[in-house]
Amino acid sequence: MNKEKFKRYTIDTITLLKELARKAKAEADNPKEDYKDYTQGVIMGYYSIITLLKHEAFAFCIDQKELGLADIKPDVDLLGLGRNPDVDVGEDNWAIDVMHEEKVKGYLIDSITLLKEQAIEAKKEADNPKEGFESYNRGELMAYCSIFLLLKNQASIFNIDQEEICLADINPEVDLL
Amino acid sequence: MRKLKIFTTAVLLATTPTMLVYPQDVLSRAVFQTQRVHYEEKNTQTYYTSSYDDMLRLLDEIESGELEKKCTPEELEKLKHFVAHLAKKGVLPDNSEESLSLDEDIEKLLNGENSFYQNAFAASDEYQYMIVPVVLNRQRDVVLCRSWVSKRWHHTKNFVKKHKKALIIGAAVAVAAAVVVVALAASSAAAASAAGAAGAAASSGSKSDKKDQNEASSSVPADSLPAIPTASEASAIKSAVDSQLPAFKENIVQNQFFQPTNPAAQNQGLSLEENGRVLGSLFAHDYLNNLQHQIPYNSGLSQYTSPVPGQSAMIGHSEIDQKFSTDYGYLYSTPGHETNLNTLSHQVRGEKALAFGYYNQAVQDLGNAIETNPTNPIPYLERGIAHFNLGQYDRSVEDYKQFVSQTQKANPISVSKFSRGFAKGLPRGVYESGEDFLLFMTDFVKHPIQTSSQIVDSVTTLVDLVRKDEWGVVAEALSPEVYQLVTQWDDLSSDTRGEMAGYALGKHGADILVPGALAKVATKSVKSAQELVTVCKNLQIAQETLVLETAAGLGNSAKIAEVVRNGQTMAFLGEELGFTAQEMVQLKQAGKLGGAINSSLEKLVSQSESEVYKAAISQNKHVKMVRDYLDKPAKEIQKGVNSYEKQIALHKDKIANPTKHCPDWDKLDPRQREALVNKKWPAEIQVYEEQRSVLQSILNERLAHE
Repeated sequence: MNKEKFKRYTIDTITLLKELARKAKAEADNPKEDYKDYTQGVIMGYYSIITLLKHEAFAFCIDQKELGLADIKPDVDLLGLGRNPDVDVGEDNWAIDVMHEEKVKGYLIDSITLLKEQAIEAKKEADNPKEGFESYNRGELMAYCSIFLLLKNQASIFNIDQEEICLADINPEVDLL
Repeated sequence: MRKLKIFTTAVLLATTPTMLVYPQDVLSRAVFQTQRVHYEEKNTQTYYTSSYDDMLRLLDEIESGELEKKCTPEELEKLKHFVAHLAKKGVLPDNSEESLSLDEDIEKLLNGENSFYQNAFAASDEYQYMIVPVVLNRQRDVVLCRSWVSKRWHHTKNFVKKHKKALIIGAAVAVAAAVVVVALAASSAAAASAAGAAGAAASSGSKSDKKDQNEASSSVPADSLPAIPTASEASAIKSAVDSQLPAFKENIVQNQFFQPTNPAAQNQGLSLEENGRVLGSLFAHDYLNNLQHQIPYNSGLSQYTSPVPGQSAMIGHSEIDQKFSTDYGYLYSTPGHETNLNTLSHQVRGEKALAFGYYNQAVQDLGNAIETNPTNPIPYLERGIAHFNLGQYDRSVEDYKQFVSQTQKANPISVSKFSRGFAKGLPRGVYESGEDFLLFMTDFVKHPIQTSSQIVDSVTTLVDLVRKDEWGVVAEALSPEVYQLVTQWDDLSSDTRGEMAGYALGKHGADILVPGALAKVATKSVKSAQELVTVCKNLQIAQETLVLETAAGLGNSAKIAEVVRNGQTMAFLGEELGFTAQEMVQLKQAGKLGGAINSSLEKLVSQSESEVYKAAISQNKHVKMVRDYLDKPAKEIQKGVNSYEKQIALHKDKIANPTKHCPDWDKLDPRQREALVNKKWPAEIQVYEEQRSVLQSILNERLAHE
């Protein structure tokens, strides 16, 4: 049951995260009245989260295909931006390592540390929004809250100690909302 | 089954009269199984059927004070009598201070100066408002003052503490006496049932299928148990058991079974409780065995029970093992096995000590077993394993040689080829199991003739069992690898048999049964279940043989010590460095484990010295990434630096010319545009710069070291 638990945890969590992000995108494309700003904020939150996870995979030389991150391009799939075919975005890793447990655990720890920084930043902005950004900022913060709830919930399912992946010191409902 | 439980209770009542005073409504129902019993058709009351573990729990709860919270004062008062009875039953005929003071302590406990009855009836001024004696017509129930009883109960707790040894022996003896009577009746019932079923089938000329007949002959349907003997009948059997108690206790004293093996290290041996379990269970098995043989010649016994043929006899042994949570029944069902109680007591205690890791006690007990019967090979093997674990390799090899000389027999002609196949298959199985110790020993397993001979015997037994099994439950009970081996056995060449057996033993060891399957087999055939247990025991012996045979093959004790030490070191380091069992196995299989461990060690050393790593830790940023890069080649790190620079330039260009990169830029929500340009992309640049800086620092550090 505990075999490759970090790997399975990461892949499973990313799959669920993509589902959340795509659902948010669908809602943002057809927002309910008064929710347009909020849903745009949520989308921006998921853009930032997935972009960060992709960057870290890059930094750890982990194959994005193996993690399940290769089939989502946050700028295109979430923000709806096109890409200039003449510009090489160079996002592929320059080297791919074997995705062993210790490496995946390291990837998780560093990613979660950076995610926490971003979430705290989003919280500050939501607490002191610029005019016209109130709902938008709350939406963005909600995306961070969702990812931390997801990470924690998944940790208990995969029998992972939250301390082990630096998740124990954040309570999204208290610290973010 | 219900009848058997009822009978068990009746017997417990007959053999241990004070069980009547055991508190009946207050103990944890999870711990004690209650049973409504019609006893002598006069009263209907609730009593308990107790196992040895129930008794231990009771003593624990008295000592810890748990029982005091659960019981009414009247029940606590009654419990004192029960405790006194148990201690009396278990006191040894030695002259120890503990034994000599027992009578005096019991007197104090039951009739001391603060005796309840004296106080209750005296009803002095001090107590008159607190103690109200309510002596009923027949039951003499009383209402007691809790504070007064609590004070008195303190004496009981101290009594239990002081006379723990006597109480544990008493508990073992009480359970043994009760269960032997039950077991004798149960096995006798099975025999009667089998005879009845066979007779009925024969007389009716029934063409009932073979399965039904077989079932009648080897299983015990619950409803086939005979009428329950009355208390006087049980008492007749019990008196036969009781007559053996003095000899049993004398044996305990003579062999010092309850003395610490090493008085200087009292914790380095089996506990009193485990000693009681071993000796109580063996006593019960031994006595059941004797009684079964005495029945035809003992009119007192034959009046109530029938002679018990082989397989029905096992039912009784199974009953005993159930009550003591032991598995010694196989000793009495295996032809030619040691059955002398004294020898077995040493041997089984030694085996238990070995299993618990008390190697010194194991050496001593198994040595005693060898002394009483030098021709029994098993204690030599087990003592060899104990010596091996103590690092006394010369002695372990010597014991192994003795074991081999005692088990010399003509090997089946195919064993030679089988053993080579076995040596080939074993590592694969061990690699899959990830068993640390064997992992490092398998390199030295070349031609294990002794082990192979034992494995062939065990598998042959299994093949026979599966063949004879009418219900298919035996085959279902086996792990897939063993199932495949057993079902294909006849069609396989010797070396393929060996290879498959090596793989199965390497992977599962002696645990060849699917969890929980043994109980299912037992419901169909107790005999088959018992034989499966015997096979598992034999496979465990084969595993031990494999260790010693391999060690003996290494030559001298220095070489053995080196192999063991290297294996232990590798396993320890691998674990410390974070390799999973599976990873170690894969690396070992690929011959790269040593290299990987050395490389990780070097990395660990360089990590601890790296300033970049220290800085990452102090800032709690990119720590794992730094660690990941510390052992990468410089060329790869340089590539990383270049990639980061490219990304930084790209993002800067995106900020400066967003429409160049994103043709739909103007359609984007203005707040998102602002966020990307002023917040997100700059933040990404910042992370890239930090990471590039980290890689550059690692490169610089490495260049500086070179």
